[in-house]
Order: sequence, then C-alpha cells, then structure tokens
Amino acid sequence: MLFNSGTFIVFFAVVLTLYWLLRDYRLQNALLLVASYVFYSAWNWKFLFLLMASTIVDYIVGLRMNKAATPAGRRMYLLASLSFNLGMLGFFKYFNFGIESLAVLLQQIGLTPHLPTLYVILPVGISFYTFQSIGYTLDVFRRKREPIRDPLVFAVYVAYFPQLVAGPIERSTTLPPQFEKPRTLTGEDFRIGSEWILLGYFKKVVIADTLAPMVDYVFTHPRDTSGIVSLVGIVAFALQIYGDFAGYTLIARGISRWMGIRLMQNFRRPYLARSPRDFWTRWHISLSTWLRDYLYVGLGGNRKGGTRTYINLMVTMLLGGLWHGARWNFVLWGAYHGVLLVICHALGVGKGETRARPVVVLGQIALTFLLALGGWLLFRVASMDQLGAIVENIATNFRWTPDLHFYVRPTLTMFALLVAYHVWQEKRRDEFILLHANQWLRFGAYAFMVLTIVSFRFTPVAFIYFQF
Amino acid sequence: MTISMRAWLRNLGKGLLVLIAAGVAAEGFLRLVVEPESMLRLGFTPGVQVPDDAFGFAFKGGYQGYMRDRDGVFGVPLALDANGFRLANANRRPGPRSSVVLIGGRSMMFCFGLLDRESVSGQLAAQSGHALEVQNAAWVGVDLYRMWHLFRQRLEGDRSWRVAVIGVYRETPEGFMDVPADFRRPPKPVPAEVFFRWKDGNVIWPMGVPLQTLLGRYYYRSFVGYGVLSFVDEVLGKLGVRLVQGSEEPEGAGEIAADPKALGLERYRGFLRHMDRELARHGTKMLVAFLPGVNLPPGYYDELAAAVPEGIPWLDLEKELGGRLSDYRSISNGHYGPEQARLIGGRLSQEVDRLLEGGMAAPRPAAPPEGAERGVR
Repeated sequence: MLFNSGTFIVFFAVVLTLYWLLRDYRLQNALLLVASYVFYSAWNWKFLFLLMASTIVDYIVGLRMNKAATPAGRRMYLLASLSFNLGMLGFFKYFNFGIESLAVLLQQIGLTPHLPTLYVILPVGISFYTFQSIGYTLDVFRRKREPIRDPLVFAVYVAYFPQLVAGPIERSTTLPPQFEKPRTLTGEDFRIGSEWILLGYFKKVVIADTLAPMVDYVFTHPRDTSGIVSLVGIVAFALQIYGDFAGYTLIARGISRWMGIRLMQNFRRPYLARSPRDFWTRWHISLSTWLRDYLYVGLGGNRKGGTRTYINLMVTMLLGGLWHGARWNFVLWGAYHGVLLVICHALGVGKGETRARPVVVLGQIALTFLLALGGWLLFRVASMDQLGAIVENIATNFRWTPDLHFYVRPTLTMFALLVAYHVWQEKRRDEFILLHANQWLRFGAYAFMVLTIVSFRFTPVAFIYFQF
Repeated sequence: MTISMRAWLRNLGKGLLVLIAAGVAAEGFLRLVVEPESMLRLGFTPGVQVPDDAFGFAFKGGYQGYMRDRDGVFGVPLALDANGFRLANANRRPGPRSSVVLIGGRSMMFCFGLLDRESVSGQLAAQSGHALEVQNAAWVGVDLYRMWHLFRQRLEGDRSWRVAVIGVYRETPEGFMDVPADFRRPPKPVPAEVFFRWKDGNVIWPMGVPLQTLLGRYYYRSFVGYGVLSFVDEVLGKLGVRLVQGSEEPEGAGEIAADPKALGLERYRGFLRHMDRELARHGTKMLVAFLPGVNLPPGYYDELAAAVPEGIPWLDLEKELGGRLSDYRSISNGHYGPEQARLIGGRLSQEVDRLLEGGMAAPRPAAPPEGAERGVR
C-alpha cells in the first residue's frame, strides 16, 4: 500500500475518521496497531509475524533487563535482543550476499562451488523497524529510559504505520511517550500537517517520479548515451532520491501530525550542505544520528584519539552503507563517505556553521554537492560493470548530442525550483517558510502544487527506500 | 452592498487571479520538465504515424525519433525502415543468412520502449544458432489481421522468408468475428474520429475515456487541462460513465451467430490455415506464438491454442514463461522489459532454429481442458 496510491488515501481516511471518533487514547492506540498491521499485511501478511516476533522479544527483553540484578544479567538480555534482531536482519538481508560473495571468492581461487542460494524475499521496512527496536533495548540498557510496560504502546511504537516501512527511525525517548497520553489536534497541527503532505506528494510525484524514467534509462544504458547525459543522469538521481525519500518522510510526518503525533525531521536541505560533515547532519538525520549515538559513540567516538576516531568513522559509515542493502556498491558508498568524513576531521572542516563570504559559501556548497554526486553514482549503480561503463562514458565520451535537452531541461528546472525553495528557507532559517508567507503567495503555491500533482498523477511508483 | 460583501468579492477576485497565475505557472513548469509525448501518453515523438487509406493510419517509413512513456521509457531511439517497420536485426553467425519475420503481436512484439537489440526480434537473432536476419512486422495498436495484410503488401516479395512467426497477443475468439470471411479481403480501414485521433502526427486512442472522447483534440491543448481532465475521466471511468458510445460494428456482426465464440474460433482457424497456405507457397514455414503478458489469467490462450489446425506448430509462451516474467521488470504499463524480451526471444530462437533445421516445433503440450474444442466446427 503506497502513500501515493488511491488505496492508501481511502485507508487513511477511514483510519483518521475512526481515530478522532475514539476519544480514549488507549482505544486510539489499539486502532493504530490494527491499522499498522493491516497496512503491513497489504504488502505480505506472512512477514507480519516477523514484525510481531520483534515486538514480543524486545518488549520482554526490556522488562527483564530492567529487573536483572547484575550488569552481566542486563548485558545478557541486551545480547539476546541484538542477536535476535540482527540475526533476523542478517538472514533476510545478507544471506544471499554472503553466499554469492563466497562463491565468487572460491571461483577466483580456482574452485567451482555449488553453494545453496535461497531467494529470500526482503521484508519491507525490516531495516527500519529492527533499528528502532534495537534503539529501544539500548536505551533501556543505558538507562536512558524506563522499559515500556504497556504492551500496546510498545507494539504501536514498533509498528506505527506512517513510518513503519521507510522511517524516520524514531527514538524510544520521543515516540512512545506520545502514545502514553491523550493527543490533541490544533489548527496549527492541521495546517502544518496539510502543508507537509502536499509538499511530500509534490516531491514524490512531481520531482522524483518525473525524473525516475530518465534516471533508469541513463543508468541502464550507459553505452547508448553521451558522457554529458551520464553526468546529468547522476544529478537527476540526486534530485530523485531526495524527492522520493524526503517526500515520503514529509507525508509520514504530515499524516502523523493530523493524528496529533510528531515525528522527527529527517531532511534539512541536504544539498545546501557546506561540507560532507554538514551533509550528514542534513541527510537521513534519523539514521545518521542513530548510527552516531548507538554505534559511533559505542565504539568510542572521538574520545580515544585521532586514529581511533578515523577508524570509528570508517566502521560507522561502512555499516551505514551496508544497512542500505547487501550489495558491494552500498559498501563502497559507505566507505566513500567514511573517507570524506575522515578527511573533514583531519582537515578540521566543521559542520558548516562558520561565517564566510557568500562566494566561499557557494564554493563550499558546490564542492559538497559534487562530492555527494560521486556518492550517488556508487549508490545507484546495479553492478561494478555498470559503474565502470558510466565512469568510462563520462571520461571518454563527453560530447554534445541532439537529445541532450531531453535530459538537461527537466533536471535543471527541478534543481532550480528545489534550490530556490531551500535557499529561501535557509536564509530565513524557517522550516515553515511557506506557512508563514503572505496568504496569496501561499494559496498560489498550494494551487501550483495541486495542479502539477494532479497532472503528473500516473501509475504510482514505489518509494526507493522501501527496498531497505 | 455591505463592506464585508465587497471584501468577500475582492478576495474572490484575487483568489481567481492567483489561481490563474498558478495554472499558468504549472503549465510552464510542466512544459519544461515533460515532453508532450510522455505527458499526453502519445508514446512517440511527433510524426511517427501517417494517414493511410487502407488501414486508417500507418507507421511512417524512414521515421527517426524516440519512444517515451512515463513508466520506465525515456528517450529510447527508434528508427523505422522504408516500410514503417522496426529495423531488421541480424546476427554475425557465419554461413548463408536466413530471413525470419515476426508478424503481429501488437506493441508487445513491436517491443515498445526497447532498443532494437533488446527487443524480441533482436534477441531472437542474437540467441539463434543460425545466421539470421529477423524482421519485426508488428505495429503498436494494430491487430493480427491488419498486420498480415500489411506484411503481404509491403514485405512478402521483399525477401525470401524462411520462417514467419505469427505473434498472438490478447486476441480472443470473439475478436476474430471482426475478420472478413474472405481472408484475401483487406480489413476495413480504421476510421479516424471513431477509433483514434491525430495529435501532431501521432495517433491517440481515446475510446472508452468519456471526456477525451467528447472533447477530441481540444483535450490535448494544455498539459494542466489534460492532467485535470484525465483525473476527472478516471473518476468517470470508475463510475462507468460513457459520454459517447462507439458505433463501429464488427465485420461479422451482420451474420446470425447463435454462438459468437464458435464463429470467431472458426474464423480464426480458417485464418491460420490461410496464412499457413499462403506462406508455404513461398516456401516459408509458419510458427504461431502466443505471447505472454503481465497478469494474464491462467490458461488465457487455451481455446486459441486448441484451435490451431493440425500441422501448424505453435508455442504457448504465456504458459511456458508467464510465471517467470514477473521475476523481471516490465516497462510502460506491462510491456516487456529487456530481460523479459531476452527470455521470449531465447525461447523463440530455439523453435525457429528447429524449423530452420527441418524439424517441427516443440511437441504440443498436454491436451487442453475438455470442452475447449467444442466450438470448433
């Protein structure tokens, strides 16, 4: 059930109506749980049992851990939770990757292996809800929060449908407390929620889905296009993945807001970042902060000297890359960003808060965007062969072709629109810039978005991050 | 008029002005980011088709342009030969080259959205063990009967064809009611403004879409207008509203047929026999290929397959490959993606090779369900 499908709109209309008809927040929680399970089952009901298993295990682990008399006992429960969640994630996400990589390795040393390959289906959203669940047990272990005693609250926290399949990965300290008290819907909540939903659909339907066919063609036919087209295709992918993922997040946050529940910000104008370090404070914030708090800090962070900091950064980013999927290009993508962060730390490049002349800022933003493009190339390719073909095409076939305008015009238009909006937000330092604008400007912008969304409304395209 | 009324009217006026400005901005934006053929679902850059007295429209000989669609097809180059067919695909196997032609199969055999080398005909040539040249004689939106006559008009004497693969896609027994009883008779021209309309040298099919049928070419004037009207059409379509009824009668409609399916099947059998005989006169072997599709119901071609006359080899690719197709990505609303075309081309190449080596095609699968032959006289 995609957010951009008619089925979801009907489903959500029913859920929202019932939600506000039920005055008691406990009944609302029960409704949210049922709705979340229905939402997940619409994709594949069999994998609902995995979601339930993860819920039951971590609920019990949280309670038992709290009662454990010794640190060793607490650690044992933590290990049980990690083994279960990471084991499940590892099996569904990395089993074939491991087997196939081993087969390639053995072939390279002259052996002909006959290893079993199970074509394991990847349960949608598994990376998101297992990380959310692991975050909870780590918080209880570190005594950052008390265990959740109400099983309904915990089950809704793990399965909450607006963010179940593609995040944001919510913290146990922020989302569950909202399920433990009555919710209200103010006019402000409604307006913010509506604007986010509209912006989200615009980013998804108009920006991401329009560029998707172009990106697909450029990446699957690197030898049939010129190097300039390949380059434009990478820029288009940068816009597509932003529109797709940030669009999803905005819709998730918007529909949550309509239910009186606040989800965390996941994107903050990432292509205006002034350094790779700054980029990671703006891109997929819920994952990058999760990795920082639960992995990087756990490894020692920057508290154990320069070399150890660099190693910790590399490990964190490599695992961050691998979190996206069992493919070598994700590992490379993680390593690439790890190296960029190490260089930033070594050179003392900060998080982009320092004052500088506009031309310098512009240069920093442009350089960071170019570096991000390198990452997106690694992220998007389906194989190393494809990567080689695209790089070769850019390096050796950089020529003007008559069909170039097909690629350049939409990419530049989308880019200009997005940058203009983000610069406006950044300059005013206002996340709700449109909401605070003159009413006629606001009305015109909303009408523009509605008209373009309706005009672009074709076959719903799945969100990219559902595969992770 | 009270002050509040005046203020209300002023706001209404401002609102309308802002709405118009937003509409203009949206129109400009859409025209910058989407090409007309993609936005208006034309499928091809302008000028791919021309009016044709015999067939209503035809693909333009020597066309050079692009295929484009909002669903996975972006600027795929397309060149048509002098006859308006996709360019022939040849492999580099040594030895004298045999010519194979693929007739019919609509946009699936045409392989909308695929490069020549990725298409079924390209893959058939690439995967064959013989030196082959494969000519694609399928057009988007054109049925088997019309393609057969086009083949006879434009290609039959062109080369010495060794094998003709007859592509059957989404044909039903009832559909052959539309085929004349005398198979030498050309089909009735498809009348424009009833079955299709012209837009910048491209054919569009508005049938069954209420407002599109009603408004005709005006429907395509503005991208925003098109988008909004399409949305309304979708709603009307779901409600079953038809504002204009199609009036074209099938060829066989005048005949008294107690059982239209039986008559259709009989026509179809006769038509296959006719094609086989005509091709054999020129030394061409015929193979009937029932083409798979995404989400076709199980046993979709059973009746048609059971009705293939004895001695004509056939392949039910839907039955053989239908299940495997879903492992791969399809494009443009269910058309074959590159991997799917590779699979189909590979399977066809085995049978074509067998025919070229003098054998029959694959043995018939198990007998069709009981009763399937009942309608055949």
